[in-house]
Amino acid sequence: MSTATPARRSAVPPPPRPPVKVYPGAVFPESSIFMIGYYPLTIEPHAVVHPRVRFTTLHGPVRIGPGAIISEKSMIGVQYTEQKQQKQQQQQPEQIPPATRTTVPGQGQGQAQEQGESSEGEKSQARKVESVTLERGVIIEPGAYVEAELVREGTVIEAGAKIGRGCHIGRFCKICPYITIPPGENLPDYTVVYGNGEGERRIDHAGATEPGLDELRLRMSSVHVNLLKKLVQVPPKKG
Amino acid sequence: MALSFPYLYISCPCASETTLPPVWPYSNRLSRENAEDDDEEDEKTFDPRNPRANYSLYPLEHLLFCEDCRQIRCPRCALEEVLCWYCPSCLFESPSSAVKTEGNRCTRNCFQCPICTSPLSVNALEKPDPRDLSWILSCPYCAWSSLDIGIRFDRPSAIAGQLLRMRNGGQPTLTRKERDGERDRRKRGDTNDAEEEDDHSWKQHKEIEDVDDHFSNIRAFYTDQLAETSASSPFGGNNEFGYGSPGALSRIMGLYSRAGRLSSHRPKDKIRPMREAFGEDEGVKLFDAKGEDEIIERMKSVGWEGTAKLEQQSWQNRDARFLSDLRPVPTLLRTKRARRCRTCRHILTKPESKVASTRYRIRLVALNYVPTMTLKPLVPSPAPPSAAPAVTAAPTPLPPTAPSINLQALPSLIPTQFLLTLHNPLFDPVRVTLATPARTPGRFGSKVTILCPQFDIGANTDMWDEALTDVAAGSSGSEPGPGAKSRGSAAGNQSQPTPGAAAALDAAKRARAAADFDGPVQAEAGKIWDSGRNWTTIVLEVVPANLDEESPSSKPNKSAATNNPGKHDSNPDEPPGETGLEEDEDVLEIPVFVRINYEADISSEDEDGPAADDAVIVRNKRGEKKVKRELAYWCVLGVGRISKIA
Amino acid sequence: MPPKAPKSEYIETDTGNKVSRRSIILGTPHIILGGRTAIQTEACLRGDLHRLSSPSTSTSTSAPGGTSVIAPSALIRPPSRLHRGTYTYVAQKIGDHVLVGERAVVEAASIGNHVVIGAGAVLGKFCIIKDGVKVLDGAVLPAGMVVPSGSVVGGRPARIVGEVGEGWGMLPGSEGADLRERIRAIA
Repeated sequence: MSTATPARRSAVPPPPRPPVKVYPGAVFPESSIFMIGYYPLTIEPHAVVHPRVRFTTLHGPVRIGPGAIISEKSMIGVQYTEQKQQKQQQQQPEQIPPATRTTVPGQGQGQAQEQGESSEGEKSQARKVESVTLERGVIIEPGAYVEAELVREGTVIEAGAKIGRGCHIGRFCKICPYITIPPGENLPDYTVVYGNGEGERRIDHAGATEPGLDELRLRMSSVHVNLLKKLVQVPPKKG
Repeated sequence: MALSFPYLYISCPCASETTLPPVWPYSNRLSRENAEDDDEEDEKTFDPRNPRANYSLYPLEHLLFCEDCRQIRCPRCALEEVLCWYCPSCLFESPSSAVKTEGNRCTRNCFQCPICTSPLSVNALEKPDPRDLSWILSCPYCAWSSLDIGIRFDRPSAIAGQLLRMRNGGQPTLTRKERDGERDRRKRGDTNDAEEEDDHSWKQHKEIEDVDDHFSNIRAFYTDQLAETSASSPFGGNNEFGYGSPGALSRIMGLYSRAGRLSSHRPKDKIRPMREAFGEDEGVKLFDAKGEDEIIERMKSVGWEGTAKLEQQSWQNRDARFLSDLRPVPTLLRTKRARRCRTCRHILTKPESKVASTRYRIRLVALNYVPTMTLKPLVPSPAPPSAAPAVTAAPTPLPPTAPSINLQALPSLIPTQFLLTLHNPLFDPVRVTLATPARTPGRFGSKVTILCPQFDIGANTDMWDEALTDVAAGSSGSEPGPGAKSRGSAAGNQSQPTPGAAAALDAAKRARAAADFDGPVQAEAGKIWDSGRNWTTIVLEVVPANLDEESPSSKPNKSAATNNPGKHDSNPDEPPGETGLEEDEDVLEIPVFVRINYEADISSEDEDGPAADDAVIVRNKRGEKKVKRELAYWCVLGVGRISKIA
Repeated sequence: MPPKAPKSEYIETDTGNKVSRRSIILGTPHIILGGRTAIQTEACLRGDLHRLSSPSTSTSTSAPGGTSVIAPSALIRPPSRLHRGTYTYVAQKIGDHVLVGERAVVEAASIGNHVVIGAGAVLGKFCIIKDGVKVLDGAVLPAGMVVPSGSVVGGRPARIVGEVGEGWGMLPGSEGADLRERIRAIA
């Protein structure tokens, strides 16, 4: 699968499918979800993945935390530009991790990252393991593009937002539609990014200090998840 | 935003009217009839790149038409009249009396976020204890909430009223009554408080003195003053010579002209001068250096993030330097408006005054009087030399019905043909004369040729004909393509083919088009391309300019256009290879002068009153009295972007 | 405009709806198409997200009106909220002659007639769009925003930035106008 011939595009072997672990209670209409990659994809309990989500685990494992909602047409996982991808694919034979190298479920995302780094540490930057972890109750709205290393609990990433590689997004943040977060940013808890382009930032102090608001948000997303579990249909597989 | 091609903007004649004030249509018509080389201002070629052009170009659907002036009217040459005020958020109408007393903002629950202007929503703040329920205003976009300024509401309704009684932080503001009482108490001279008051810290002091207090103090002071000064007049408090009386203004106005009469009339009238306000209770606010210090201290503590942006400050109606000072902004009301012609004051549009209704009682839009123009690339490209570049412009091989010319990248120096279709909305056949400069204005002049500058369009007679032919055309799924010459020959005489015939014609046409595919159809000069009941299509040939080479005729203008020659070299944003091109200079815009002549049925106005300027009563061949009418205007066709030669 | 897809892409219904085979329509019992509506490639309609309490077939969750176009990759899904302790999806209504632009995300509660929604616009939950509105490309309408008829909205967050002309929708082939021709051209 890793030949670098120019005719690769037309005669591609089926794209690599990541090992998927879906925990009971999660909604994962597998037939309508695009997956590509070698690293494991983990869907934790009560996570809801809408149809037409695209997961990429070419560069590192992807973990969807409990109670997270991933909306239609969003893309989760680190993706490279075409050029880099080609280069990366040329180097693949030595890079494909064995399927056994799944992260232990329930393990902290940081550990997963460290583990990846320690084993791949000696390799070049382009082949660094870049995992994506979404924590509990994260909501990804339609068309968002998340390459962030870590999105912590209760954060909402709205439609069309792009979160660059290696970002750490804090708890209960809100990224408004079409905001771009450049790679490698760290957003503190309760950050709201709004506006245009890279947007403007503010810290929702009141949301942070008001007692019970966090629980309220988490509860709301959990009832939402409970409803979605009853409603989301698996679209019929089309050719 | 990227321009979407092709587009059509019409230049409202009012732009030139301002330079030639009252008699424009008349003089213009005369000049055109008498001497074409008249060098009047409006005889010059319209330049869409002129900065002034921005103020006269409108899309057709924004233009109105005055039937009395027989002229296009744009938003600039129409007067507006407010029919009703309403809140765009709750869609409630505000009576005009309420607008006068309470201002042009919604007085219900509609507020905008002071951070980002989104409409705020009222949300319940639930607590474990159901009795401890409160409501907040919160922004669904930037997550600002009234908690940020320490305000929560007891009820989800009448938020405006509740907000009025609350300071940022949640403390109640004094009502007007309380304020007055407080002031009276202080005024009565509780002098023993005096020293105590000095000891008050500035902060405590400030708490009493906010903008509302300030205003109420100064108002109370002047009310007192008015009462006092008026009381001195012999007719008691409520006489017409007090400062506050309605008669005061007229009295002052007539002070000199009718001085004698006034003084004789009221010799005893002596008004005690008003004294200046003095002291804080009377609304004088002295500069306090402590206050400034405190602001600086606050800035130190909250930092850059805690201060409000200038834009955010400008939305507030009082000083708000810090985010914690911001208040939710009540939503501005919007209006429904009628428009009148500025010249003759006739109503042009009048919507129904109900907020929910979208209907109009009167709507004289230019669409119903001015032919609509649509531009389409002519495919397949007729001239062999242009065939190859057209393919490179659109690399994917498309079916022949799809446009193979990419309007975002027109090839330079390649003759490209476009179909210009004019639809006649009038009920009379019209004769159209189009004129365009041979070279488009600007640094890069593209050559433009209208192959048939004068032609007729049939009348917009019967809706059913169009509907029927439309259905036929739709069922065969084809636009009149190249090779539709057979129909073109039937121009002028209003052919009204039955649906079946049209379909047959269509099929034959397509068969011919397919057969002729190798030998492309050539557009002939002086002939129309195709026509139908109320539309005519002509061919427009364009040779897009070479963007590497300025047209020699416009060289002298260059220094004027770019008075700083080194500007482009220093501009880092310019993509490489694009230096020397100003913004949108590669857009091909063709100014076209359109003149429409037609004979309309005579209306009662024309018979009774003096005929409109452009109306000449004639008798046609059948002896019917007709009015000759003419309408002329400039318009701009946006064709596309010119690509550079690779 | 993307190049026209091969003819077999669209399924035409009795009422003249043209539905792309490559569109994603879930929960069809809850979607009522008004007739002569085109749903293009990769457009997504979420009828499965319906209100649970009501009998499933009687209420429409998502109802694009007659003669509307849902452009490629647009997403239409009903709005949802927490109301009195229960989380529900609420029915959504879309009027006639509505053009939903490419990649637009529509979670509005209602959209009037002759509305143009620009490419990539995001209509937040429970937005109400009245008749004859133009939403500019890439606009982000915050949840619950009401747009009065005849407005032009744009920006992030969206504000009312202007008014459409008096002749909005009257010029055939222009924005906001009758979409019949356009739908006919889709094949």
